[in-house]
Amino acid sequence: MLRLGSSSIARHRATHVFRTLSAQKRTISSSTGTITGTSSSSSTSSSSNDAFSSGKDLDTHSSPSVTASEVDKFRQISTAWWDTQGPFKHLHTMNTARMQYIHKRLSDFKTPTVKGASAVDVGCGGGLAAESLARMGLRTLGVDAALENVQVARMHALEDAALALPDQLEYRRMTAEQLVAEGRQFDCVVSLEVIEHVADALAFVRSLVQLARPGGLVFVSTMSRTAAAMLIDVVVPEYILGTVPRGTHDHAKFLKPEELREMLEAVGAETVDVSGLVLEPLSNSCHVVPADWGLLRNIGVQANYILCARKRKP
Amino acid sequence: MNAPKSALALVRPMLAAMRQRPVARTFVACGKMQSASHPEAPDAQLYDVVIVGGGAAGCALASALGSTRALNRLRIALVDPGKLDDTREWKPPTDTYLPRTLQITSSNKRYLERHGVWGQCYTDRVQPCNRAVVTDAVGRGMIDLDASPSLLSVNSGSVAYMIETKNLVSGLLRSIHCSSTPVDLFERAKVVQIEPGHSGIKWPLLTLSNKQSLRARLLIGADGGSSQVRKFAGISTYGNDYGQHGLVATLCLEQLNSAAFQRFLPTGPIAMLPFPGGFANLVWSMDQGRVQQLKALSDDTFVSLVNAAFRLSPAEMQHLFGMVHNGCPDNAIKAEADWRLGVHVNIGGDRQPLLAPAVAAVSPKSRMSFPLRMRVVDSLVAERVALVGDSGHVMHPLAGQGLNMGLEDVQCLVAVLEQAVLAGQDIGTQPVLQRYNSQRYVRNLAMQGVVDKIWHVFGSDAAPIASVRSLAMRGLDCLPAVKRLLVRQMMA
Repeated sequence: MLRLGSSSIARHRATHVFRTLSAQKRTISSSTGTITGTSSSSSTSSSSNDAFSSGKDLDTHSSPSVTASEVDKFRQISTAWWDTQGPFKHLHTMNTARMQYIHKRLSDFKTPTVKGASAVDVGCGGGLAAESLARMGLRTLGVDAALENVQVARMHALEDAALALPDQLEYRRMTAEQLVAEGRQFDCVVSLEVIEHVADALAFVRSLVQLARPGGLVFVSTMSRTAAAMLIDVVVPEYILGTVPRGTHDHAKFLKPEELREMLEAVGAETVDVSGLVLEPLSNSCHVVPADWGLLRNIGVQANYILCARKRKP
Repeated sequence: MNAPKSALALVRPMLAAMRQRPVARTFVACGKMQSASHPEAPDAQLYDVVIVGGGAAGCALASALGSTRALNRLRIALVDPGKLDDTREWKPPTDTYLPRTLQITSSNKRYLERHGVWGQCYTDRVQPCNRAVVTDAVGRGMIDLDASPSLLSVNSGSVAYMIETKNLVSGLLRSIHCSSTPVDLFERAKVVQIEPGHSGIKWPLLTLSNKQSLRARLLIGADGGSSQVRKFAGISTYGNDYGQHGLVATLCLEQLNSAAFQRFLPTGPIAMLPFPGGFANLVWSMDQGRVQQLKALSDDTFVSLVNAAFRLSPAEMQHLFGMVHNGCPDNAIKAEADWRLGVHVNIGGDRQPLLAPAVAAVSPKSRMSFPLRMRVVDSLVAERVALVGDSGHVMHPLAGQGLNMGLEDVQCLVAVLEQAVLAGQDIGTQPVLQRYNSQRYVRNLAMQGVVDKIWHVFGSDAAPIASVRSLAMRGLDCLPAVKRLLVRQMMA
């Protein structure tokens, strides 16, 4: 099949790129000795918590949360991730607001961003959110099911000297389940605009919460299954304006905040806050708004929203 | 983040030699990695912000960045060809004021106070000013903007503050010196070349005259009207030269004064800005040739001409200028001017309200001049470049707004950068810089437009225009509510 052929070439190229990168990383780590970790390790996880070992990319084709068709939607336009006028323009606009929200919640819960708390971006795509997290000071791991995305993210991270430190920012091609299987846990788990593309939302949420250490924060941003979201996020961008490729979003897979809240409760995470993300296309900006406005409940989260949950301590 | 201890130990001795103070920064460990991949500039020091230009705007930005807590992890450099430590250690002269001065609005002064800059300046050499008298020589219109009555209720300081440029810059440098975030000063260093980044790191590379090279995540052009950074960024600029020069000098008045006086002559406006102790700063705009002639006059003659410019009619001024142009000896010009001033007194001229105080003397060797022009830019930002201060806008000094716009640029840029850093963004990228541009560009353009229009309206001596504008001035003078609104606007 043509697709497999091209992906194997891509994998070969990626391995070469990765080998060069990991060679550089090994030089640094050998000269620095052990990297002192933070106190984020949980009691049940393995010793690979603190050291960001240079992990290998894994084959993600046979994974419960990943559908090949969804992954393909992004694989084909992978080079356009960092084009601020391209199909991912809205993600760039939303990124500042989302990151400010995450920063505020992290500081509310006294998670030390500068002192090296760890974070994982599940479904990192081209690395938009992962780079911002790393620049904030978190030791970030970005994972994505599509190899092309991980390659683009790695290439882009090379352009910024602040991201080139040994364990500041790392990308791996794998799924959330595979990362859980490795036994890793993080202070902060972030999954932005991903859950509407997965096959089994509950399993995905379970993986996200398993990746967080007890007391750690989980951030999920997605779109609500309302008529407003159908209009604002599907009809207008895909069919009227054409800024987003058709078929990117499937309205049936959108999750309402209450549904997501229930799922998180079922797997042991307590929702701390839900806020809406309002995009202003004219001024190309995005604002975080509270969910309720006066007596109008859930008015702010009718379209895009971001949710912050905290994993319960045992 | 905690850089590994042994990496720091390896690299620190190498860097301590290059820097004045030990800096534990996130780029320390990365320096080695850079040299492996970028052989064309192996020793380039990496900075988040490089400010080119150590004038008032550049130093204000460096001081603001250094004192903002959210930005304390940024590496900042300030590059200037002059001797910054001399300016920092400046001891003011005891018997005069410097002729290059600035007007600072009250909101900018509050900003400088909040950042601990105002306390570092010599505040006894600063004159708060609450009153401005603007008159028109041709149409005999006049406005008296007096803020004192409304100030009693507002209670937030004066409308404007007159300060010598060197006083402010030395205060800024002192505050940079004791700011919480170290700012690396590259003084006595001219920027020889700026190259855009190539492969890998796309940051612009600056080569200095002292052989050092810097790479900047964000390059700030604070290097004045003929900005080198702006040329590098390819931002085109256009505007007109007014064909005039501004002549500045320090005057000694016959009485204490705390009001600003400006008179529009057909040859250009003349302004007297108050300073403590009966001193004043003169800003007189006129054609370049006339400026050179006036600079060559003796001190006494010059004083008589200044007094004449505030009192006599345009026709008499024209006659005096003619005498200067024809090369009449200084005492003849002085005699003529004094006689005409005597006539003016005899016909009751000195009992006119709103007359500028008489000038007794001019400080020796304080007469300087500079060309006046307006420069508008296409944009305040480019790829990894932002402009603050005069590099982004040059305007006529008749409204005293030049540095005030620059300080507002600084405030806006610092707020935008703070927001970007908290969100983990790369501060040199367009989404961040466009936020700065969209807020400042239109405001700067509007102010430049207003100042330019004022110059054109008052530059004409055609009778219809003169009578209309004088009527407008007198009309405005009769509306105290509107004047109070204007004053409140100027203070906000």
